[in-house]
Amino acid sequence: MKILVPVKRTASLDDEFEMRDDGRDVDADFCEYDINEFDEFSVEEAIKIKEAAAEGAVEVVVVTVGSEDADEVLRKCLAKGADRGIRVWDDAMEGSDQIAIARILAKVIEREQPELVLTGAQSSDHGFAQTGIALAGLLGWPHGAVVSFLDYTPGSASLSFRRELEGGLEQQASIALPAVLTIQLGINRPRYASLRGIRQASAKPVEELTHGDLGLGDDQVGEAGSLSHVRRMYVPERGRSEMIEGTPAQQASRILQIIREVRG
Amino acid sequence: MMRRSLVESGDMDPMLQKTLDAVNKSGNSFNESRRKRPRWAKDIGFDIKDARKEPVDVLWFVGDFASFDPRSQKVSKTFARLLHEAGVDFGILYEDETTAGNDIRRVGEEGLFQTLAEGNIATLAECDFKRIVTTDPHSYNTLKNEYPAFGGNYRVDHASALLKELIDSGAVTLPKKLDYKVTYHDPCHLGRFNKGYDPPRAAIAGTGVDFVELPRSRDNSFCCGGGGGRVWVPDPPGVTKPGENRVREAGAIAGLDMLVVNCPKCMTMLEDAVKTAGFEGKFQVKELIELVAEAMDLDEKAAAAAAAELIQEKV
Amino acid sequence: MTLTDTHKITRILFQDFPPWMVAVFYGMVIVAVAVFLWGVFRQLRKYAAGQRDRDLWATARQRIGDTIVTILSHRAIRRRDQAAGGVHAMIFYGFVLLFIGTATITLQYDILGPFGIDFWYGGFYLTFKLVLNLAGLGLILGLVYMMVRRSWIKPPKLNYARPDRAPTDPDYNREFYRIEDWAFLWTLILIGITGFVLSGARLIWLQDDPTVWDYRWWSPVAAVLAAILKGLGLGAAVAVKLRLGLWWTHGILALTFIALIPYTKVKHIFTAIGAWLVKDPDALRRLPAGDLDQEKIGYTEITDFGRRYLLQADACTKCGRCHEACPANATGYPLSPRDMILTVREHADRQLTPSFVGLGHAGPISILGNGDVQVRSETLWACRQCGACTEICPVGVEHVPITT
Repeated sequence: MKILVPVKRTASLDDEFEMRDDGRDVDADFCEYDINEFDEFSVEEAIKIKEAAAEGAVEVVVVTVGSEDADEVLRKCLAKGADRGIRVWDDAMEGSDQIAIARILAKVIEREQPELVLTGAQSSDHGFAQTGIALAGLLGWPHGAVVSFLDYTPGSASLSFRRELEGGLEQQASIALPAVLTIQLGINRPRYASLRGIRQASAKPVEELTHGDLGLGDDQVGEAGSLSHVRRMYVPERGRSEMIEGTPAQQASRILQIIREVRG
Repeated sequence: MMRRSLVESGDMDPMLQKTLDAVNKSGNSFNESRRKRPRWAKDIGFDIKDARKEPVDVLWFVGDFASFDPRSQKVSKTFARLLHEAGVDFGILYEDETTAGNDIRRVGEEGLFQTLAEGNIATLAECDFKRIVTTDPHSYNTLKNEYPAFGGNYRVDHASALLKELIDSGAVTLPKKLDYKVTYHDPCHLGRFNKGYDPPRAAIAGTGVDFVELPRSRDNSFCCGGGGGRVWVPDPPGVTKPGENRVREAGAIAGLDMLVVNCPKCMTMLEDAVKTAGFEGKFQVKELIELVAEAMDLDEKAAAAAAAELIQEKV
Repeated sequence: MTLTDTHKITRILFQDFPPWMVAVFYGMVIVAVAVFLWGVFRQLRKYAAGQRDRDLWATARQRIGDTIVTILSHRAIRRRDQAAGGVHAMIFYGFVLLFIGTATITLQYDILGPFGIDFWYGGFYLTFKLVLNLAGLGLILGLVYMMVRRSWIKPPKLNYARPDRAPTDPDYNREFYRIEDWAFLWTLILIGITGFVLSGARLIWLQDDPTVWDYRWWSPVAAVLAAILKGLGLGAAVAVKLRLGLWWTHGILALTFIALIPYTKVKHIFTAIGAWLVKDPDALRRLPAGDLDQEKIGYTEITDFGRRYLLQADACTKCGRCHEACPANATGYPLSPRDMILTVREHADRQLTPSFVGLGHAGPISILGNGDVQVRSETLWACRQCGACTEICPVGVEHVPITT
């Protein structure tokens, strides 16, 4: 059986940074990149399932939507034990939002036909927590979000899992495959990928695909294919907080007012 | 070569794993961004030359602790001002420096070490300098002894050797005679590994302090416990720290004012141990550079220089 | 005295032995040497199972020179323990001189003698006796001190209790080493004592032969013993029997000792010198580079170890200097460099020389793990890489690269 694990190359910020000229993101010069922290856990979970099974019974494929720089993230996953990597990118994909990314990933999944997709619950830089769920929606697959424990025997048609809720509560559920699960931090202990391991992992295959290869039109990727659009990213002025009272309708009304003010 | 196997199989303390990931990502063991590295040099009263851009006599390889650890940053600032006062033509690598990798290698992550070495060597290849000096014995050891195998051949000295040279040549004068009772802890990588026992003692002697040897000194020096990656890993329950063992040995010297160290990790471990072993207020841990700076009356000189500049401006 | 007369000032080997007795003796010698050579072969084969090390030939002259000076001056053993160093020198030189003595006799009797070349007589012989008596005395006195040291002085570094095992672990008990150490001391001292009493008895037996009795003070210890025995009423008739009995006791003890050298702690005679010869003076400063493209990096099985490290593991005499110097051991961490090296040795012996006679290896197991003769990861991670162990080791064990 096949497990597909989408991974993301995420940015971490220095204390002092500057915004990009267009004001919609941080200037890349101030970012340092690494694999999304949540994805470390989903990759580890997939590899644990693979290792617990018979030799060759489980194939783990890692996928990323990103430029050449994202190769290092794939190689890290391959060093940890993934079998194959896929990197999807072309210039048209620039500016894709979570839904566009999910759309791209859905096409990869149609190609690969995995039984199980494990994503991180969210990304540690933008933190939308939408990609995994949107992916399930586009595929029409059942999904479980923020999974803190999972139990799966390869070959079985379903798996059981637990979700972390507030107040120390856990929800137990089972799900029929194929399914998408978004994985929470702490589900396991991600293994270390040594530099030597990463170096030797360059022997494992990484396929490069464009949106054309996946049968997507230009209007389905990039800014054109996005459902949301970042207008502005900024550091909020400190010390400006307001308690919004009233009924939900009154609160929503006040919030809309503030948004209009801030948007200018 | 058993640790190398443990690293490959990932059998290590989670904190060590975090540190290795941090070094891989940002080139330092403090999980700080690369840009933050030279920030300690911001408010010392002058701009340190950028060795990447202009030729220097001395390329000061600062190191992780000296760049990021607050206590060691103080020492770095003092060293910078000392070198400036002594008229040494020096520069640093600013954001392009990464950890030299001595302890990364000794933890068993050979791949990461080689990557670090190759990176630093590539950076240094673009620079024009006569010698490398570092305050960190770990960096000193690997730059001097291990980098040649990867193509990096430099004249490398530890700061204590440079201090002795400056004192001997008169570039550094020590007008203020200090009447402390002082002992010296030989750092493993400077002393036992590279036989650097004498220059620090010569520098100490120059300050006029009353110097007493620790019972275990020179080749028999008792490690502060910070090497081999242990500075990154918490101590398990049920053990004392080597640092505490060492400060107790120092504490047994009657009337001791200062335990002089010559390494940022020793500084960290022993200052910590002075607190946990209950010697706070009994004696201080001081870096050799700080001791020499005090004997130089550096603060006075700097204040005088600043005042002179002010008068100049007014005029 | 005439030339022929000085020729009479010598010791007649196998004096009054019937030919069959001599033959039996030579037979035993051959067996002892064969067992010895077999043991040496087994050990060399064990080291050969390791990985080839860096090129040693380039620095061969410097290494050989350094080894000779270090061994002869005993400077490495004298560090931080002048008493042990000085006394070991007595034992070492005593043993070496006695060995040269025996070799000289063999040279005379078995090699040159048949060709009619004769040198072991007269002035040479007498000087020979004197030197060997003093050597033997030094040896015995040295051994006595070592016994006192172990049983009464009890320096902490000779405590074999290990920090890397709990009392419930199967390989916790190092009693075997303690017993072996004592057996070594007693065997050697008994060889020495029987040798001296034997020569004293011989003097009494041959008291009527002026070429022996008149020159007895050239072997002062034997002469003193002879005087004591004579004073106790020992006559020539009993002395000849005593001499014969002691001769065989001494001979069997000595031959057994020699045969068992490669199987016991006594092998440190060779392994210590060998280890020092292959020592890397830069072991601490410059760790061996790892090839990142090889199939494997680091040690997981004993055959991954460099050959020099396997030799070093056999050179360890449990002197305890590294154990005492280690900051991890001193503060309660589960690491003693000594015990780690002994584990490597025990593992190598169990895997590579599992049977006394056969040459097969046992199925490979990992050097790392929680089983017996395995090194635990907590042990390896406790190391501070401070180098105190490697720096003080008098036989050149390189604990640090072995750990890293």
